[in-house]
Amino acid sequence: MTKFKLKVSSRLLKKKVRKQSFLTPKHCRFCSDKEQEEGIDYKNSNLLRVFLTERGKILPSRVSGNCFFHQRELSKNIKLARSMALLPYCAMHR
Amino acid sequence: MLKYETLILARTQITADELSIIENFYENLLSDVKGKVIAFDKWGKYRLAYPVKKNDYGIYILVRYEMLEETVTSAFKKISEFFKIKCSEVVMRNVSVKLDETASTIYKYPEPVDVGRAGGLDTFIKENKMEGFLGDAKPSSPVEDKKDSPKEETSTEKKVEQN
Repeated sequence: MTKFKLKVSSRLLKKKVRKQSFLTPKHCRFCSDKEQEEGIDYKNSNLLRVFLTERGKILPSRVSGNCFFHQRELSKNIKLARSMALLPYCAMHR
Repeated sequence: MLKYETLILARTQITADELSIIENFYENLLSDVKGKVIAFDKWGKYRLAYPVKKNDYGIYILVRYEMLEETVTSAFKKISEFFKIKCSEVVMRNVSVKLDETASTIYKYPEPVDVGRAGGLDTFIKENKMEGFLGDAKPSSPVEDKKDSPKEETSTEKKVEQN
């Protein structure tokens, strides 16, 4: 029996290690803290504003690190707040 | 009993009478339905995220109430009619949301615009113990006087040196 070794280039492995050393693992901030979880509300626009981009778009969960359940709840409340003019639909020139 | 809340966005030109009309409407409607108003909060004046009906500013009012389950549909019909027909000029937008039974009465909302600016410039200067933006500067003297003053200083200095 001859053993076949899987070829992985050392350059790619080093690159992967370098990337992981800088990144801290993401976590959902609402799952760990219950006080913040209660703060998810369409009236509390100061908290919701954190999850918007500069142009007023909703941040994806892959960036913010939210879990699926809380991301869905956030997006619902952001859309309600937008309809009441507490949050912008898009960036505007004043 | 089911709990609901409605957030009303009104124009800044709303008068105290029109506010009392809205408050009385909710009290009358809910007394018929055997419900009651829990809270009627006026948040204050806000700068809107985007102009609504050509208005840059608006006033938010939050009403919280509870009523029986059977009377919900008829009550909301009356509420939507009230906003569309009677308050169409004053109320720009409104949204009503169902609350949990365990929902707390305390909630967070953004700070209004007119907080801290209510007194105007004079109160701002007093609070920060400022004497004014330019200090205690006396009214500037005409140009001829200014020319004279440095001459005097130099003359006094010379005297000191001589002594």
